[in-house]
Amino acid sequence: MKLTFTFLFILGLIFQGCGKAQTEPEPESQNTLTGKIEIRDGWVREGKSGMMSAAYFTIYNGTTKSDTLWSISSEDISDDIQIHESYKTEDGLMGMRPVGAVPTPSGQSVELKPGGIHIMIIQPYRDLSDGDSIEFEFNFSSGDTLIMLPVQKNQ
Amino acid sequence: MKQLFYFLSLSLLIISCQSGPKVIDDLGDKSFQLINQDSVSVTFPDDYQGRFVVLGFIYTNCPDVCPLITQNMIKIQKELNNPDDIQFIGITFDPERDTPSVLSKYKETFKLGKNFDFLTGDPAVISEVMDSVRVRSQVSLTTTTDSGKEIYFMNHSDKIMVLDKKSRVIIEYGGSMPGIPNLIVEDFKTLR
Repeated sequence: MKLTFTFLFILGLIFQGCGKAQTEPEPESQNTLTGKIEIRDGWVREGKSGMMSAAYFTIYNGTTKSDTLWSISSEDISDDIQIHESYKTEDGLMGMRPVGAVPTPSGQSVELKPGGIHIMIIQPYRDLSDGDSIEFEFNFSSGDTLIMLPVQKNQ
Repeated sequence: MKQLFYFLSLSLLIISCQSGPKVIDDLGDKSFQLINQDSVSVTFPDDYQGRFVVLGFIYTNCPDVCPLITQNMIKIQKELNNPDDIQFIGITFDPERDTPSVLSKYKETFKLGKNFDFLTGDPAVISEVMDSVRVRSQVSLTTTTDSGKEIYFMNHSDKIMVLDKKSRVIIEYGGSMPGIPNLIVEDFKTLR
């Protein structure tokens, strides 16, 4: 009886192990180092001149060192672009507060997304239309880099 | 005794079937003078009685959460195939800056059609509208642009609600959350 139980237990473990190997392929490692900072899946919300817009993206730090995004600018569309975060206040309201910097640890992704941390584009000089591309300067601790982000329509 | 039990059960069933959705706020006896994005005077909610209303609150200087609320309302309208018996309304928290022409520009940004109105008005009246449906806002943050212009932002309620044809609020959800359009579309299957 004891032998049968042990046999079934081991058999169960083997099947469980095999099942996992077949149904859950190893995800691509989050820690693959590409040797550079990448801005992925970026987009800018369509908007009218003089109003408000926002930009969203994922920062992937593929370097061996932690970095920090301090600010973003774009002479092309606005003299005032700020990093902000939407959050829920203690009394249940939705609020927004400035974010001084966005830390980007080595080998990790940081997502700036609607309803969370975002880039606020204050009173753009011109209309931001679906299909346009906007050049932004990203100011990291490691240096400045120019990135083009596409404007996407409000969906 | 058994007959009494059946009678009571049947009565409860009939009452529950007749009661319909719970009324959260009744605006049926309220009347607010507002103005829409085309500078046309609107009496809210009177002018929309006889139709369902999907109501959200926004302000156009809000770059992140309010577009999500607006987009959720648009998704509901699209999912329901632009129905004529449902009016979509966004009321501003910020009547000082959201004039009809600003709201018109906001509406244009989202490419919205005839059954979608944005309403503004006298700040005191807007405040009364908000109170009537327990919506709150407050100036929270002021920033000065490089060009010296001062801009303020607001903390605000995050809601989308549904008014029935008698202007009673019968559904209320968080406005900017991603799953809300599906919930309201499902609700309309039993409401209409």
